Amino acid sequence: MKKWLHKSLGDKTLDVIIHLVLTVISLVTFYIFWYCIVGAFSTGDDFMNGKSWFWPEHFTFDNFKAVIADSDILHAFLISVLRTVIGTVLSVLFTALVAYGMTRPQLKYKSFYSVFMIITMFFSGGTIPTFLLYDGLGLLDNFWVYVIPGLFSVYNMIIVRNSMKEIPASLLEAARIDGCSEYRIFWQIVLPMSKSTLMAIALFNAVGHWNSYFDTMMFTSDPNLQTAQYYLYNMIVKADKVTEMLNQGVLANPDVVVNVSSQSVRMAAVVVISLPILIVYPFIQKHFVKGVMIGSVKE
Amino acid sequence: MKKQKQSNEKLKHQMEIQSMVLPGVIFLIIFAYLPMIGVVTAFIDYDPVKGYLGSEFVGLKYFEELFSDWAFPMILKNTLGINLIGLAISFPTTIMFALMLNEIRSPLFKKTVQTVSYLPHFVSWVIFGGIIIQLLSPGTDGVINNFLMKIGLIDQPINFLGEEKLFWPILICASLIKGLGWSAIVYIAAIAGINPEHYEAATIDGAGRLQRMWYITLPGIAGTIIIMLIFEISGILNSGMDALLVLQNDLNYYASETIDFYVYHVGIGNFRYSYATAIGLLKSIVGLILLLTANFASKKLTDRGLF
Repeated sequence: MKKWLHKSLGDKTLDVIIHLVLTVISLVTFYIFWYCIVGAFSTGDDFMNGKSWFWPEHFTFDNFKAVIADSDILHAFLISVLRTVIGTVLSVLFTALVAYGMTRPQLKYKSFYSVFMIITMFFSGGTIPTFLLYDGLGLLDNFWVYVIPGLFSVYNMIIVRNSMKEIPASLLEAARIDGCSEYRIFWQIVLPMSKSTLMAIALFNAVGHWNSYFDTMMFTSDPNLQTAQYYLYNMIVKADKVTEMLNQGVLANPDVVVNVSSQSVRMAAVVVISLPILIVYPFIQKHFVKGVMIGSVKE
Repeated sequence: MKKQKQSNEKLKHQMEIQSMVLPGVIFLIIFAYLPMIGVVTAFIDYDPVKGYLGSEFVGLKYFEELFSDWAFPMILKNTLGINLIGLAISFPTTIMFALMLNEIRSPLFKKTVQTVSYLPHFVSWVIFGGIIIQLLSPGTDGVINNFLMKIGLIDQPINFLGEEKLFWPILICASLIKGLGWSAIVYIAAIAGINPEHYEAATIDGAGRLQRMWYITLPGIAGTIIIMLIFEISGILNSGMDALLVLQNDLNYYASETIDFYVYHVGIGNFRYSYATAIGLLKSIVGLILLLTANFASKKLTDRGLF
């Protein structure tokens, strides 16, 4: 209180303005998500007629029941989980292995490898040559198109390499004198000691996997390879997709369908598909500091 | 004899560490360098059946075609319009947001603002765009239309995403909200790196908050601002496909078709591989020139740059 009195009038006004602006920004952002959650728990009629803006007029789980009743969306969810888990684990391990190799002082041609890798951060062949390459490799309409192209990231490699350089060289040297192979050192000493950096990278990698849908659109046409995001994309962009889904639902679950509309079901699908992100969000926040370090590494 | 054993040992060790790095190198040869070679597609009449060697060399035919393409002025205008206006709005806003956040003393308030403003970055554009579409709906369910009608600003609901002239503002605003908090992180980190003694000295000299922000914080993060600006300028021809794919529809097509999107439509949609590659290649070259120019200009003017 005393401190507040000592502040000049200008500073006080500034303080109020800043708090006000940030509050407005936060409220607007929060409302976007809140509105979606309200919609997901509203009856279709209420939501369609604009009665549920801040709170569901009539609370219901039927939108979720309609979403879960759809076997296609569950299949898409499974594909997303698979690509996220497999893609993230393999990418982190592969990137970490290369990064460890790059920290070894005895490595020959190291500066050549470095330049060779960094060049790829500034030049790329572009959309179509990449597409034609995947076609040639048989990756089109193949589950591994989600995993293989993301196996190695130069950017992540640099971050991991920098964190691995912090490991005391004497420790690794001692293990080598004891007759450990480099692979064993990597597995038993280096990996556990870079846990927090690898965790941070894994989280960002996983979020990227979970959220991507353009690759589904571009590289696959097989409905069995649809990801959850792509499924949702179709629900949002193609109006008849939801109707079709609901029509199928009518047969299975007639009393649910009365209570829903395509808008409220869409919101429920949005909530279901963002759920994994919301679950890992607190962990991601814990790693923000690392993310910030990632930024400073680049500069 | 001992020496022989030692060099064997060394060779074995070298092979071991090479075997860790080489998979990464091979990966990049396949997934980064082969597509770079693949840009030759732009100079041939690529026919998937005949392959690269069997297809006829056509020189700059496809580059010439671009300049006589009716869509070219449109995609150039949309790309530059969305990106330049977006940059002019979001770049200063992000810096201001970081500065404001830095002035907050209450940890709870700060944490709340951060938690909320970072969240949109982590949800996909399908999700974020899907909610935006719902909010902007022209029907009875559209919150924004209902709100505007209630306060008497409009009499008729607006079909926001169906109006060509509203597409840019909507995309720019939505992108701003989605990225604001996250893009500010790099500045917040830079601010944290400023020596606190500068602030103490300024306070003793009687500088107010605004003055401290202007004379200490801003110059303190100037390096970061310049680096970010170079990145932004070099990416001025890129567009966020994830956002466009969700928000584009037939009604706003003429305002939402950008270079990247056109490459996708022409190449993947119409199978015109060579033409699409030519457009993409031209875009990459201009982007690279922009990067080098921005970097050079920054080095000359401020002594700071990426490389």
